[in-house]
Amino acid sequence: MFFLSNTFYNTISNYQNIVCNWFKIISFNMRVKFDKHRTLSMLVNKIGQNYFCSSIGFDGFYSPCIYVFMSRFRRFLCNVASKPFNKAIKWFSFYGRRLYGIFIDAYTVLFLKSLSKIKTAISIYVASAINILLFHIYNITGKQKEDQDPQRLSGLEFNKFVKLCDSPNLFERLGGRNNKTPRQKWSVGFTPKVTDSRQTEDQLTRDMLASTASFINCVGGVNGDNPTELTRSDVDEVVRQLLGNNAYTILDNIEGEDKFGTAPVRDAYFALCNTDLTKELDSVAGFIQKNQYPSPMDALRSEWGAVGNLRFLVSSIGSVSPNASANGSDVYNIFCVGMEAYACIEQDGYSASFIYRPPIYDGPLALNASVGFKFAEVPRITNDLWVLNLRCTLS
Amino acid sequence: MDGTILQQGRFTSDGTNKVLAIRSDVDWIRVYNTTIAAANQTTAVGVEYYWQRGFGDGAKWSYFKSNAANAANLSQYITSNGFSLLDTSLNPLSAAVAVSGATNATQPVVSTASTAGLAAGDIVRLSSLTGQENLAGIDFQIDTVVANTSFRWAYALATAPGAAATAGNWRKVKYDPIYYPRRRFIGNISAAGNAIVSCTADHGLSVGQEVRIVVPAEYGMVQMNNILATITAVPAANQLTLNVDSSAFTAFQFPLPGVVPFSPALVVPVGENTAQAISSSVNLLADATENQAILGMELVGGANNPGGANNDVMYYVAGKSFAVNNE
Repeated sequence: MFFLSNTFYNTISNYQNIVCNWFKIISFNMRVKFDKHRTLSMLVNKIGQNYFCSSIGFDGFYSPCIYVFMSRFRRFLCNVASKPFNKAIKWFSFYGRRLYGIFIDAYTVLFLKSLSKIKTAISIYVASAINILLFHIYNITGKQKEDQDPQRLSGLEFNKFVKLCDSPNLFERLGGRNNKTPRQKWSVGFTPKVTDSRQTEDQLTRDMLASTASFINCVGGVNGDNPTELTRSDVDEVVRQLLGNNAYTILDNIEGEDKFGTAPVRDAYFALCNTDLTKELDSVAGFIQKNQYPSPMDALRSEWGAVGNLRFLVSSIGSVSPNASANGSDVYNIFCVGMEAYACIEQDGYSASFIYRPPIYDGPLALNASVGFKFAEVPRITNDLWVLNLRCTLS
Repeated sequence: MDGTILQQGRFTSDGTNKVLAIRSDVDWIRVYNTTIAAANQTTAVGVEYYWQRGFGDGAKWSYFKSNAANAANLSQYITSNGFSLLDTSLNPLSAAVAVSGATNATQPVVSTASTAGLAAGDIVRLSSLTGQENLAGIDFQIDTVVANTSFRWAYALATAPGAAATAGNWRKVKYDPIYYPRRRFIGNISAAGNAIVSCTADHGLSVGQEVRIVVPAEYGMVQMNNILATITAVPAANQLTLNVDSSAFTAFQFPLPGVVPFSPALVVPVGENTAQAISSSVNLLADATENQAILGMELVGGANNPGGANNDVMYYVAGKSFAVNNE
């Protein structure tokens, strides 16, 4: 057990330089009582299979090792030399099939390293309360499907590369949703070839906020519509209301530094919105683009910038109410949220799980495989005073 | 997997369109009218209907039963009055239809040359109104539909909008937002010992639920703004009786056209008052968040249609193909 060294930092930072000519992710999803010896054995074997080698150490890898990286935060990869892995809390390594330790209640990533390159990674979340181990398989060099949101509405980047892909030409679309029991709604989704359940979770949360959260219209603009385009006075109004409702800000302030073209950023609420609003945001008085932050690395990947006490996260799947304005234009919903304003409840601890049926189950000729996901989650506003939907139109 | 049957079932037709929620989407469906099949027919009547993915919207393959020999002796592909795929999570609005005018009354009557697709109880949204800009963008329920002439706001506003409209558009809001409970627009709040909130459409809330009332200054009754209240009664489908004494509050008024833009008054469901729910012997979990979106199929009702005539007993079986290749 040891903390990060520069060598390891350099190792991790190289991952972005890997060019992947092929894409293969094993299907692997477990929900079992945690058995570290069995788990390690399975992980090692799966990683080996992922690289078409029967065991680690084969197929051109020289002294490959598996490293475990643990963090209590999801933002752990940091490419700035001055702040290498500032969120790290533990760092472990193990060789072969010996696992030295794994902690609960932390986000963990296993890396397969060969020479100086990270070859693949597996994330693990060990829930402390239920002692269940959940695995998601990553290929950090894989590319996303074009129509998928690369940044996710929530701004959290974790799990965005969750995909299953095997013999892609055999996959077909399977499904939708509608498995309803009296007190819960299961959402089941299948998409061709590639599945991203996390995006579906975001979309459902978005739709819940659009259905139930109270809203205020932007009225400070001049486009003659109701609501108007976004203006600084509208931002100030929503911030005033959130502050008055004792909503906690989510992000800390970013302290000013002696750098040209930068400005300090206040502690802030999240404002979740559609990418169509980026041009509008640029026009808002007092808007600070994220590259103007004193330390841009503190910005989230999906972040566009800040106005007052709002930091705007944009997504292509951000909420839009079609033809809802007075002039019949689309209305853009900007969900301004304070800390713990809403939650996603995993019923029976049942988050998204992947279901892979190999071709062997299809018929005597094993022609068709299938892959999909399902989950039983309910998004819920926990305090209606801490979330406001600021509605606007385009200028 | 190939040829999987997703769902089967039975319903007794009321002669109107029937919506079937079919999980995991559907690639084919077959509907049987057992009432017709069980009796001899003197003229050809539809007895079995079929649809598969690739048929046009509303199309069907029909089998008719036409004589005393119990023979299904006529097949026909018809492009209307059949099956339509349904996904209530998608765009819930119909196309815009021109409005020629609207009266300046607490229940405005909206004139239009086409009321196609409208029925009493539907929710409608107006836009681009000339003269009644303050009503645009508000979802409201309608009644008194006069075919290709007019429809009326079903629930009265506190005050008349202030002017008549001379032009605009209407759209039908086909589906509610997918999550229950939903917020609603407020058209009126009474000044009474127990305030009665009137929404512009049926709210679907029940006794015991807690709501937050949002009343911007343009509506007058600012004392009600941001109040957290419990529903003590539901006197009408669009009304809520609250445990709030509003008798001394400023009168509620609907903003005039000159006030636009403004934020609307809202009732926002936020939770459950368990004490009230227990004393009223109602469901403690009535406020539970529920995704009410459905995927499925809409069957057009009536004789010779898959939705069946009144009292027809219909059986159906729906399935999924592993691959659909419509070239």
